[in-house]
Amino acid sequence: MYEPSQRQVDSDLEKSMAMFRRAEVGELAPLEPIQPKHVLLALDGSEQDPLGVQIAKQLRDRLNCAVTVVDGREAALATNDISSEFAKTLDAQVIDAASLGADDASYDRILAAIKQSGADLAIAPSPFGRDLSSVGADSTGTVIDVLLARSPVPVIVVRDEFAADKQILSRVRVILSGENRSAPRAAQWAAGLLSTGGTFELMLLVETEFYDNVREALHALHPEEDIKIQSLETALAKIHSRLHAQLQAASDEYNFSYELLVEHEGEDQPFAEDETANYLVVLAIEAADHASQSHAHDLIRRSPHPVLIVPRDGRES
Amino acid sequence: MDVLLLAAETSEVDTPGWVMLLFAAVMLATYVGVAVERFHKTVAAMCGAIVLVILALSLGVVEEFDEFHEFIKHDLNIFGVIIGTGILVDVTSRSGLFHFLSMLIVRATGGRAAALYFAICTLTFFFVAVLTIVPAMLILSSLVLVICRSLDYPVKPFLLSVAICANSGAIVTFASGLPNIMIGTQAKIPYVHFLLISAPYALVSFLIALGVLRFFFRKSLPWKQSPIEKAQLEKKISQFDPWALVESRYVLYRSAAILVATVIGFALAQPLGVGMDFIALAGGTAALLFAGKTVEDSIAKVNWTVIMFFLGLFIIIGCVKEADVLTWLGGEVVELSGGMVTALVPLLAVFSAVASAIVDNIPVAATLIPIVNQIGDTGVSTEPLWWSVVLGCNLGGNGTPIGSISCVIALYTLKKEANTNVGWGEFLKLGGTIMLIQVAGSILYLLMLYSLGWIPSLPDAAPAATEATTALLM
Repeated sequence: MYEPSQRQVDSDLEKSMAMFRRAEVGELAPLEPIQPKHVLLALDGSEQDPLGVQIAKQLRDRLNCAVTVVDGREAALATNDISSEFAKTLDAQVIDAASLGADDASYDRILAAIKQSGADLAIAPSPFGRDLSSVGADSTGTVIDVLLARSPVPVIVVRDEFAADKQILSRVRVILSGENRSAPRAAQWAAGLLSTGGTFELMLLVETEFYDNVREALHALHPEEDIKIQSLETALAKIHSRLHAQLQAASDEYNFSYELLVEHEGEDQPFAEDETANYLVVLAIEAADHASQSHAHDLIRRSPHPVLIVPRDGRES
Repeated sequence: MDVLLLAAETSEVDTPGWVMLLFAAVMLATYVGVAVERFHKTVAAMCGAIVLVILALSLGVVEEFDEFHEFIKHDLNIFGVIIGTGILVDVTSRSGLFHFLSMLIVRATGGRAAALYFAICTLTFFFVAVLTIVPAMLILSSLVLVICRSLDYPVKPFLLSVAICANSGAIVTFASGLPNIMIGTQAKIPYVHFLLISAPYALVSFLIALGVLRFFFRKSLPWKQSPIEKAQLEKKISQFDPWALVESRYVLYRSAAILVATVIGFALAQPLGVGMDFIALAGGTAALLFAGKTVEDSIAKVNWTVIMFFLGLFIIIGCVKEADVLTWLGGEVVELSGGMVTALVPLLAVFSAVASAIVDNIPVAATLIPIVNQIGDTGVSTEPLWWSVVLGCNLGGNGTPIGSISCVIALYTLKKEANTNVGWGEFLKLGGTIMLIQVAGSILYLLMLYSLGWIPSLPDAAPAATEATTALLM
């Protein structure tokens, strides 16, 4: 019979062993979804507000959660009432602007509103209070930067590229590019927001820059050795094998379809599909992990979809 | 019988003896090149083909260059089967279907040595039948390494058993191995005939191997374990979750459905009036369309080097055939056997097994195909002969450490991953014994089927044989 080369056998054997090793996850309970009970919608008076309203409405209709609306603009800029009409549409409560600090910045007002309302999920536009067309993909805005750093609850960041009339909760994609202790929490939130029968994708993405760094470092230590990007994909899959197994089990228990995508960063990744596709991107951040924070900022700026940012365990109220 | 001998003697051999000898020498030199590690098999075959093309044109054995294209034209269907099944196997393997199934079954054994051992051997048999040897060996070798390390079992008995059981799996169906594909397409053997003739003996040869292996490794594994040990093993093996290695259930289900549909398609190819290559390519295309996440990678996984190898080999066989070497050889074989099937079956089975154990079963099959055709032209019933070549070429692989790719992979993996060397002597004692029993058994099996008239006639072979016999008798 025809023989493959030794290198081919080595490579295929290693891949196959890695696949089997991934099955050694121990006995795991299915991942339990987390659903919000109370959503805070922060408005900025921009053209993006209707998009936030649309998402809040989808959440309310699907999860029967309470919704509170807050005008997040700084007091000096809040010259007109932008909350009442949207609140009526959503059958939501409105936070009295007078109850928030008059001189506070927008992020402080939103954080205060989260605390006051008892919301466990917030929705805010990015860039907050600025014209997206002028800022483009260069910035998420100061308000979002601060919210990501300080918000005790997950935040759905809305950018207007996505089509507001589409059901974004029928498909969620959790994107992880490395070890992340918030990942299970992010997955729980993603599963909680997902519509019944929806599609859950766990995308493990090896970023090109990360690969280059690992490769150069390895080469500096062992000049004769090289590492392929596929090896990092395998490693990433191994790191998150327990989460993958829990999601597999949860997909049966909670009736959604689940798929693991292990990829390396291409030209358009992780958003390389059909432009008409709409889904919720879910990212996990750790306060002490600068890589996860910069990864989140980068993806929010580039994402044509709304992005749910889930902070580390313990920050949530 | 005299008539058959006369037929062999009167067969037209126009080529001068020294030209026949020269062509045979180049073919043998190429086979030596294929057998020794110094040359790449494909390079050896292509070199042999180039030398023979030059000789054939310069010595007038072949008059027009276009005639070489005719040699390959008849074998295009083999390439179609290799490409189609290659893509299908790659897509289904990537879906995790076979990893999932094997882990599911391994978990069901509770990790007990005896149950695990027989489960892995049985998985090997079935996986090779569906996937062919190389992909199945890679999956099972990696499974053995991961599980044995986790449960503290020695790797050697498992890997050697997998290697030997793989060669029984290779004779189950038309698509289980390259010699089967070559012989099946050339002799137009329907897929169902494989299930009727070679599959039952595949099972018998598997049981023979299991018996000898169990005896050989009687002291190598803890065949009897206490309830406490069993409970500990159960706990360890339950740490493996088969679903954790599946990336997408839908891709897995679709891959399984396409694979099953392709196998059914193979079985129905003849009644549907299409070739196996069509079914294989349709299956491969469906896999890319419905289950392929990495189309480019899967197409690249097709064994293009084996296709190049075949290209060279078919040119060599075509040239040697044109030089009447195979005609002469066929005549000699008929003469030696007296044209009796009862002599030809053991002769071909033993020759193909021994040659495959030493060289490689693909050139052995490629050389024997025109010889069996030649024998068939003298009126001998070829059906039992084809099966003796199929069984001999595959089971011969157990004879030596280099006889089959399953043994090569297993011994290489043992050395690299378990730091264990298996010498020729040790392997010959184990594999050689099994090969002898299996080949002897295959001869008895085929002769028994032949004497009972249970070997089905090939679609157009029976009338042809009858006509040839009638013509000779007249």
